[in-house]
Amino acid sequence: MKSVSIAWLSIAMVFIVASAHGAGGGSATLQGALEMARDGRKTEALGILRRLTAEDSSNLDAWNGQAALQAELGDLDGARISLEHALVVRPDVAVLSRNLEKICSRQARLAYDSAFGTPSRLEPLSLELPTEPSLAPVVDRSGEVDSLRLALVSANLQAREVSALRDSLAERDREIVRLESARPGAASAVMASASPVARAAVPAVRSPTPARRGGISAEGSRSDPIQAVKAWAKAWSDRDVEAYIASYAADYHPAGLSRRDWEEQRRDRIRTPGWIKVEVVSPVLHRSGPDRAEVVYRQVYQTQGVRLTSKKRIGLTISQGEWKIEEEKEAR
Amino acid sequence: MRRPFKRAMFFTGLCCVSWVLASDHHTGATAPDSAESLLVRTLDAIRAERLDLALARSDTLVRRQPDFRLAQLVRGDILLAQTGKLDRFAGPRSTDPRAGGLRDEARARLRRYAQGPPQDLIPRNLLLPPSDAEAVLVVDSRASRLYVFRQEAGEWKLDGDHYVSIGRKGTDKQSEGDQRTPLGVYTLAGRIDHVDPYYGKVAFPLNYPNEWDVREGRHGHGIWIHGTPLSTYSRPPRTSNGCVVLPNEDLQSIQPLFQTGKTEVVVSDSVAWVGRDEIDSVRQSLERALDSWKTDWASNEVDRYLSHYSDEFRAGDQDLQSWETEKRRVAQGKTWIKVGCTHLSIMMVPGETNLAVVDFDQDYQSNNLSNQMRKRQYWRLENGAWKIVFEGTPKLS
Repeated sequence: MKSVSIAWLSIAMVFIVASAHGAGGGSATLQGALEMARDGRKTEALGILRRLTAEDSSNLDAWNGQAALQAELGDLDGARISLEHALVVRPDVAVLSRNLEKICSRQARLAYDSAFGTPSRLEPLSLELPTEPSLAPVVDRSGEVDSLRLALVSANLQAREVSALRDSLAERDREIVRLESARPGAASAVMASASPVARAAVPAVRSPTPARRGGISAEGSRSDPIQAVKAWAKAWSDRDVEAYIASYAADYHPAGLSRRDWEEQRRDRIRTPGWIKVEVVSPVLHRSGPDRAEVVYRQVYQTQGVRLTSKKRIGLTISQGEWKIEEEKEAR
Repeated sequence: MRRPFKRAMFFTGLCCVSWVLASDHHTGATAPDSAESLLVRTLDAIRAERLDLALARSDTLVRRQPDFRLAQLVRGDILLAQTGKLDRFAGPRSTDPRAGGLRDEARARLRRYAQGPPQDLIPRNLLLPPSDAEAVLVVDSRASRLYVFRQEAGEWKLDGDHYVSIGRKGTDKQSEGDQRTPLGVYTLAGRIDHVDPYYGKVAFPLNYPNEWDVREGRHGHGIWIHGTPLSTYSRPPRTSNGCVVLPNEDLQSIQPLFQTGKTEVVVSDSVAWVGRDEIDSVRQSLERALDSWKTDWASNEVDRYLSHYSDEFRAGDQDLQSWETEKRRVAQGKTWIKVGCTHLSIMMVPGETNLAVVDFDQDYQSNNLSNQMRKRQYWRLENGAWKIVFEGTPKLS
């Protein structure tokens, strides 16, 4: 408990010294909340922190403090959501990520304990409360999804079962159809033979339909930037240049080329190889506003004799109700 | 290298929750908000590479069903994957002997969603279920599934299916303590309201060993349909001592259909689903055989009557020879016989080749004796002809 108090004191000091986030008046209240927590009035302190984060959702230290209090009080779900909220604002703050990792580890342990009926006695979780701003960027989340897939594979879930499952879900469940519809390779082969709904979501290759001309189906894209990126990758893989170009916002301007020259160059590069396969691996969505999003992912580009893996960062914006690419770059 | 996290989980979580609530259309019989359906959607989100969605769905799931062990395990995996430390199913607990059972449960539940019960087909066993029963239950041990059929305008229609666990050592029970679930056609023999909480809230004994089991020399007792311990949502596929175990909420939802002495439970290793045509043709061939047996009996021509019995006939202490001797003796005193058969039911017996159990109310009248009884016969197809291999009364407990 003592170390926690020291931590609370130190974060209070950060705010006196740095006052890096939030309005001037807010920091005094934050300080008050932290003192309260130190005095053991944690529930009351949590109330103040909640108000602070509600007033200014970019107040990262308030979020972090709120998460730390929630974790101490045993509300791990709440703590996780607080940190996730903070990370939506600033995805690259290492201390937030480390705290989130702590919570996930603890929650995983509790879940396993429930699964196996082996409750273990655990100390309340104390999170890191930094004494100085810790903004070291975090990178590379590839492999995260892979490891879970590996786990499922080790559970002997047969590929056939997986396809059949996807097939049957496609018929029932438009949401999943939308999630899946832009996946390259095997998934689309399964979808092609599935229900009318599934078929509608995956237009036949090289038969431009009104929906296809827009690059991606309007409904799917409006709700999901990741879906838009996957649709774009699929258009690329299908060498469907019109759909590929339609995935970009009208005012997309690549560096060093006119829009017209860029389009020509893309047409040429996409149509020349006999086949292309572009995979979007481990996409992560960052929402920077109601109509702005960024998707970071690992891209695996393959064509005859070539396999390139790179980290990509795609900026998207809503244009006429659809997510369109407005920026494209290598990440880091 | 350290693995960072998803940052968009918060928003996606909100979307997910509203979506789960909004989705109410399913072709499958399982309710869209059932724990199983949420579990399957969680796993599907993982496959769609949407850990954020998977985590949000698992949140919803364990909030609804905190005692669903498999759900907790999957959630543990999802959370641990966020930290990059998951390397296999059940992560650091993969060596726990119970992990294998939970993995099997995951597979069984997923398979249900991958394949689903066939539409417009019915199990080959249900040739003519008893017309006075509200429901018939069919257990498919390999699928870890119990199907409920209800009568609707004279036809048996699928009315839901449920995950079940069976005996540790599988099926084909032969003896006391072998931890197997019997294969065959059984009848609910009662209802026990005050059971040890380990068995849930209520239990329904089956009439194992039935007359066929006795004929085959099988023994043992205490084969029930029951629920799960009150703190456990469901158990892995093979965990009972031979009973058929359903999650408590599932058993609660179907038990109003149960009728002691009437509800039949067909326990099969692998249900063969067939079309109405095939059901009709097999049923009609059995009905013709039964008709012909009845006519020949009423004609009092003993040779013709005995031609319906198999060389393998056995019932209680009698074999074909002692049966024949008795029937010839009895026939001598008859001047006339009338035989009526009503309330017929015909089921194919699982675990056997072309064996049918035939029940009917027999109204027997003759010059010197009349009686009414519920009769049970087992007919086997031998060289293209149905022959009686057992005859007696149903053993209902």
